[in-house]
Parts: sequence; C-alpha cells; structure tokens
Amino acid sequence: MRTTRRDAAWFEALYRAHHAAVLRYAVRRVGPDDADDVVAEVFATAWRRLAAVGEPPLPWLYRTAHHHLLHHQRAHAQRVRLAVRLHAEPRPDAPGPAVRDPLLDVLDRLPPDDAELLRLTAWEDLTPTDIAYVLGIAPGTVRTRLHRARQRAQTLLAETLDPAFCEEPS
Amino acid sequence: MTDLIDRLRQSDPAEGVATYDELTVRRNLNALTGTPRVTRRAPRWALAAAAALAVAALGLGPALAPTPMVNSAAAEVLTATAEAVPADPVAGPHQYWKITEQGVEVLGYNPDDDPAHASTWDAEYVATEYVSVDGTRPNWQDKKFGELTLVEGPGSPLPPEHNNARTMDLTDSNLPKVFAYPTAAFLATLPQEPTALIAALRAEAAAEQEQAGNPADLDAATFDLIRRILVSGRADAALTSALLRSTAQLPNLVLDEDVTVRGVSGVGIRLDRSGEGTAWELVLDPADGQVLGQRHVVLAPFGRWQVGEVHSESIFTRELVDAVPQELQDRALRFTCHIEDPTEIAELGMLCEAAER
Repeated sequence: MRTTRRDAAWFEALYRAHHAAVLRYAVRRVGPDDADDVVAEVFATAWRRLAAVGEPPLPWLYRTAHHHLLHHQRAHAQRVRLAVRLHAEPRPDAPGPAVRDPLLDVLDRLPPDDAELLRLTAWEDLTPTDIAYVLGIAPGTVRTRLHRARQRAQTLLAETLDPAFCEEPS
Repeated sequence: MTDLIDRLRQSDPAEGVATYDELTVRRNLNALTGTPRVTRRAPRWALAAAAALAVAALGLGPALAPTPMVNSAAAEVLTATAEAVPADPVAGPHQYWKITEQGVEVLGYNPDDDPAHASTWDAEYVATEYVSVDGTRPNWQDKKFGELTLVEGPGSPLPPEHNNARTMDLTDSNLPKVFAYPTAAFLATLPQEPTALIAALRAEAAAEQEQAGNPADLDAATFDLIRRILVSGRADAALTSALLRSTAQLPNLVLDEDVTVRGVSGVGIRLDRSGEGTAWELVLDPADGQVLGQRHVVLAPFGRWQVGEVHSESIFTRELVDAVPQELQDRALRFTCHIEDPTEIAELGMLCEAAER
C-alpha cells in the first residue's frame, strides 16, 4: 500500500492487492460457492472501518474473515457441511479424480482449532505471530498448539494411509 | 514435520482458483464503495442535546427555548457528522462528478422598469454541474427553473426563460490553485488537521475581506468560506470531515435541532449573528455524515420576511457518472476564457467570451 491516506483510492488498492488471497482463504474453508460472499463481507467491513484496517492489511483481512465465519457459523454450517460433503462425495457424473486427498480428510478429523492452525501455516503461509493475531491468541500458545496439531495430524495421516497402523495389538 | 506442511500445500483446495477479472473487480468495488462507510448509529450529538435540554428543564440551566442552542451542542453535531462522513466512491479518471443543487430562491422581473409591473416569485430550480474527475476535461453547468410561486406584484408577464447550459475551454487543471477556484487539485493542498485548516481558512477569509473592503466579522467570514467549499460539492470525504471539525472550533455556533430543507430533515448550524439581516445555515445529517444543504435564515425583519423565516434554501447531491448528457452538450453555450487576475474571485478574475458554435 503506497498511500497512507485512508480514502477510496486506498481502499481500491487494498482490494486489488488482497482480494485474491481472501478469496483463496474463503475457498479453502467454505468452498467455491460461498467464497464470494465471504470476500464481499470482509471487504465491506474494511470499507466501513477504513481506519481500523491493520498494517500490513492481510492478517487483518484474515482475522476479519475468521470472525465473519465464526459469527456466521450457524448460518454457514449447513452450506459448509454440504461443501465438505460434495468435496468428499463427488457427483457420479462429475469429471476428474474421485479420490480426495487423505490430508483433507485428516484436517476434517482434527479438532477445529488444530486444523485451522495447520491451514493458516500451510495455505496462508502465516508466521506464528500473524496466526496469533488472526485467531486472537498468544504467539506462544500458537507455537505449542501448532506442535501438537502437527503430531496429531501425522498420526491421523498414518492411520488413514495404513489402517493397520492403529489396530489394537491382539 | 515439515513434510506434513509441504504435503498440505500440495493439497491446497484453492489451487487453480481463478481470481476476479477486471470487470468483476470494478463491479465489486462499485458495489462496496457505493455503501455508506459508517453504519447508522445513535448520534452522539443527540445525547448531548438531550442532556442540555434535561438540565434546562430541571431549572439548572438557562430557560428552555425552542431554538437555538449555542456552542457545545453545535460542536457535538459537527464532530459527530465529521466522524460519520462516508468515504467517496471509487472514481475513474474518465468520469464526472454530477453535483446537483435543488432549491428555491427569490426571482424578480420588471419588464419595463415600472414599479407597478414588477413581480417577485419564489422560484424552484435545479442547478447541475458536471465536474471532470481528473480535471483535464471541461466542466459543464446548467440551471433550470421549475414552479414559480408569486410573492409580490401582478405576476405577469413571467420572466423569460434563459438557456443556462454552458461550458468553457479552461479545465480545472488550467485554473490557479486558489480558494476562488475550489478544484480538487487545490483542495488537496489544504491541511486536514483541524487547527491548521481553520488557520488557513481564517487567513483566506481575512484576505477576502481586505480585498472586498468589507471588514465584517472574521469568524462569520470563515464560516461562510467553509460553507461555500462544503456546498460546492468539490470537497472529498476527508476534507469534508476536516472542514466540519474545523467549524466546531468557531465561537458562537448556533444549533437548529430540527430543520427541513426541500423535504429533507436535518440539523442546522450557523454562527450567531444577532442584529444581522440574514445568515447562511449549513444543514447536516449527523447520523449519515452528510452535508445536506443550506438555508438563508432571516435574523432581522426586512421586506416581507420576519425573523426565523427562510429566504432561500437548497439541498445537494453528488454522484459519479460516466458522461455528460448529449442534450446538455448540444444546448450549452461555449465560452473561451482566460484568467485575468488569479488573486480575484472567479467571477471577477476570469474573462470569458462566447465562442462560435
């Protein structure tokens, strides 16, 4: 953002610079059908509260998107579940691969907070400090939970790839 | 463990998601910025006004009067309005600001200089100005009169209709950067910190007074300068907000809590100028941060007017359009102009001649 004056030109630059990142964030969490709505909500909030947008803006936009999804969780829940189900169960006539990446299933099986930490790390490429800002928790907590989330995910992935891995010894 | 993160990156559900094309970006920006920047909320000025009224009703303050309230409540209104000023929509350089003033003013006509034939009407009008956003193309103006309400005289003959559509060869970028020509480029040079801005405005008002040989009240002249800029439709959101905050620093402000201009409700702000004939009043919507319009209020009886009546009034709107209507371009009188004296106000410092069509 080259200008510091928070006016319409600044907002346009903000939108142009970051709408794609917010769109990808939304697609990853609610699927492509609802992603446009999330982008619109996030930038509408930014427009209403220009002075509140953080610098750099992207973590603030992610945080706003995170809040938006939390606050609208009930309204979105059905659609999100539908999106997940459609991901997991492609229509019979749908082209392309029918096999879903097992890592996405692992994310679905993790506690939501753990899964979100991994998403923000891998897909939004955020540092623990930025993740802490987005989720509203302490950076130290992020590091601790991230370590635990990775371990849990690794275990679940091993189970998924080799079910015998977790079978109780007879 | 890094492998897990790398593998997640390879499984990104957003991989290959197309970003918005330019048309979609433009459409979304227009949709977003066409909405008020600050949501409607209970205005703080209303709380202040209610508190002031409560104090007066309890006998703890001055006697309760219908209007006006001076200073603190007015400053609250100005500050609340400044805080709520919505951001400007995103303007393309090829576009025009269409600034519309809709009002009523006194119109007199005397066809043969015989006082017995002189008539006066309250004339409704709509004045329209198309201002080039980038300042590199000529601006266009028009003013059309509507309903005439006879006030005095025989009422016949009616005043002749004039074609008020016009343009000139000079563009905003050709004009000097002075208060007389409140172009966007000039207004962008003004400080936006309220104390610095009011100092600049006072200096200009004092210079105008000196040039006009009219040593009127400097506070009133400063308020009038602010009003002229605000109702010109040329100030962007940031400057509008700064001008309102600057106005709050002026002494002897008067608040009219409930005024209606052309059917639009708002609150009026003026300077207390007891003993003067009339005073201009800014009409604001503090909840939505809008400068709605202005009223010329009668403060001392003159002619047919009594104290408290409104001599003239108008409301303003500003919107972005892509083009000047062809009908206006076809009808407009064209002038070639040059700046004779950049230190003079526009009407005096610019010389224009009608151009050949």
